[in-house]
Amino acid sequence: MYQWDFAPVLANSGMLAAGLVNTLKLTATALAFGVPLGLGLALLRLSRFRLLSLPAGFVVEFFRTTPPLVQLFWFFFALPILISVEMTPFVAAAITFSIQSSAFFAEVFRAGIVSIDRGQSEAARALGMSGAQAMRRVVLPQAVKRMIPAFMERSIELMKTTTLVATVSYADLLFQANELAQKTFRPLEVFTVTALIYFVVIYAASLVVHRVERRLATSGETTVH
Amino acid sequence: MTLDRRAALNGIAASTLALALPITARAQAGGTLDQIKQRGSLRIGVTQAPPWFSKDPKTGEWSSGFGISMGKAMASELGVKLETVEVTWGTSIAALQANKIDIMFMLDATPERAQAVDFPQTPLLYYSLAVLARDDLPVVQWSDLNKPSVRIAVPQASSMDKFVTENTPNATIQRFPGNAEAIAAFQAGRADAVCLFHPPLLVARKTLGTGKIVVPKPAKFQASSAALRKDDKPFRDFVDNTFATHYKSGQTQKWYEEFLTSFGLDPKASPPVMKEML
Amino acid sequence: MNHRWNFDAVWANPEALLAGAAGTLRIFAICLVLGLSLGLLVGLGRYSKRKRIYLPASAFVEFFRNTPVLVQILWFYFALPMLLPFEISPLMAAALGISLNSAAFSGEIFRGGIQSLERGQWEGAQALGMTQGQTMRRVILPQAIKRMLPALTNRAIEIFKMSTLASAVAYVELLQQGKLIASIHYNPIEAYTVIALLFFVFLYPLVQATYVLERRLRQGD
Repeated sequence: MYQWDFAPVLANSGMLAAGLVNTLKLTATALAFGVPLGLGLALLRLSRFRLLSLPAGFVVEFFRTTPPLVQLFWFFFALPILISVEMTPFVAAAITFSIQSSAFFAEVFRAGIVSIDRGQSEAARALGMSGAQAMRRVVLPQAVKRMIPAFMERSIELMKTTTLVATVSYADLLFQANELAQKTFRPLEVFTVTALIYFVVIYAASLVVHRVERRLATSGETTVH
Repeated sequence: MTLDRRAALNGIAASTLALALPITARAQAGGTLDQIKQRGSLRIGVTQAPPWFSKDPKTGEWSSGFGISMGKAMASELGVKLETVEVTWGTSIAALQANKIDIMFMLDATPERAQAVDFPQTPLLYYSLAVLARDDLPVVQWSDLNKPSVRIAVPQASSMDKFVTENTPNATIQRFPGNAEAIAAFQAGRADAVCLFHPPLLVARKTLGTGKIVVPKPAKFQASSAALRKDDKPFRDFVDNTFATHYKSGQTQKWYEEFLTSFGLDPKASPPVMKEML
Repeated sequence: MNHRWNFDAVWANPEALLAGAAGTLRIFAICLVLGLSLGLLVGLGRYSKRKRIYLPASAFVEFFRNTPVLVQILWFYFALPMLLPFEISPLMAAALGISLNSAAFSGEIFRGGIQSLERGQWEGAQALGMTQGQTMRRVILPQAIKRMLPALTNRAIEIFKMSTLASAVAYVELLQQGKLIASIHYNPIEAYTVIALLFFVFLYPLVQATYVLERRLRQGD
């Protein structure tokens, strides 16, 4: 009969808490860079100039099709040799997930922009707005409202994806869990508690997403098709 | 629904699925020696860490390394096959406790580990703690590394990790799953030094072609051992005897030199792993 | 940069890469079958009116959608063996983590597909004298499958990418082989670039094929 003993885990809860903070820090940073980068990629992809749309399309497809863990290893161990730049584990991880998430955000942006009736941008142009103005003042604001739930889901996905950094040396929650399990020789208790922490945080975030979805649905912008 | 019920459902779902997949029942009765004879194989933990263990990419076999040589000798003495199970330094103890492996070579005896596993009395071999550092990094003493500007890569939960954490706490320590990743971090320039024992560093330096190996003062020269499951005297005595026999006959040193030669390193130019030969 | 470029060492080991590819395909196949079949059960369970079925199915979906797969894999590999009397191999642990996660996601896809069909279909079938079971089998499910196919193919591609997580417990798949080559030859740029390209070259045509499939299905409506 296995003797459960959560005492070593509770005694070291500070370690896990520090890991959780790092997880949130990394997720927030990747979002902060990934969203604008994704918008840029989406706009490039929608451009009429093939010189812009083709490379942007390639970047998006490449980062959506290759596994995130492969990308992480490449940015961690290969890139620093190529460009001889010193990167802390945080910076390397942030770069990886910013680019990775931007590829997915680019698709969300593109789908949202394209979904806005052509008539809207034509009408805006008829009113004398330039293409860029039409985009900024008419299309994007409506598109963003439609895309909010998809964004939030993508962000939750991102938080789950950041666990990959535990396999390189960034001290996120899962990395700390590994440390703790190896220190206390109590993998069952440590990993069970860690799984529960992730569940609570991510479940709470997803409840917020559902709330927002329902509000948007009632305000006339339904995302449920 | 409360968290307990969720966790219970999780457990039920998991066990149901696990039962549906092919299972290997763990040998329950008897000590390690009995289990080994019953199973017909000696399971050793391995991790990519030449010169101790090395995998051949062509065949996928863990075919070379000091640990493999010792493992093969032990297995043939017991009249069984040798089985290799991949672990990391940090998870090897959990693997022993979970009965995934019977013995983990190259694990140093520390008081913390001794609470969870046993070690034989006889040492396996001797080596010095060293660093492979950037050519332009001034390193003579351990205290030279004890600055936040110095980034040191170590494998998680290894004795190198423990030493560096205790003796150079001000350094920026990066912990990786194994030797290979720690060396890769040094190669990528994300660490100024990688701390391992001198034999793995010799191997790394040969292929990387840059960096200098330094044994910082005060030199940390110590014995290595192997981890075994707790309270198993017959197996522990067997391992004790085996280590003593091979060490005294010089076989231990020979296996080590064999690997160095096969790797293209000159054994005469490398520090020996026997105390008496220094 | 004074790196000694070494692509040869990557290609000089075709056996290593093939072994990796075989491992990737094997775990992909296992997780696809397990994930989708369990997902179908879960989806039907979520659609049930009986609380005794609906609540556990919902708990399953919420738990496995909201925990990272890597955490689950490590739990199955390191934690579960402490409770059970038999071995959990790296393949079993990784397959469990990926399959259960996929079952949770595909369960929702199945549920959505079934729910999205109009009531008219049910009533029409019952007017023809079909039982609930027959209606489900002959009318609802085939149409639901047509609607769910795009989301399911996306899931399949996600499962394929998740196979790399198995390297965290040293299962021999493509990324694990890349790590091995990189650690022996100290050529991480070459090794990881080749691995990334292998995944891209294999998956990109499949992704494009799913776009085509999606368009065809939409035309058929």
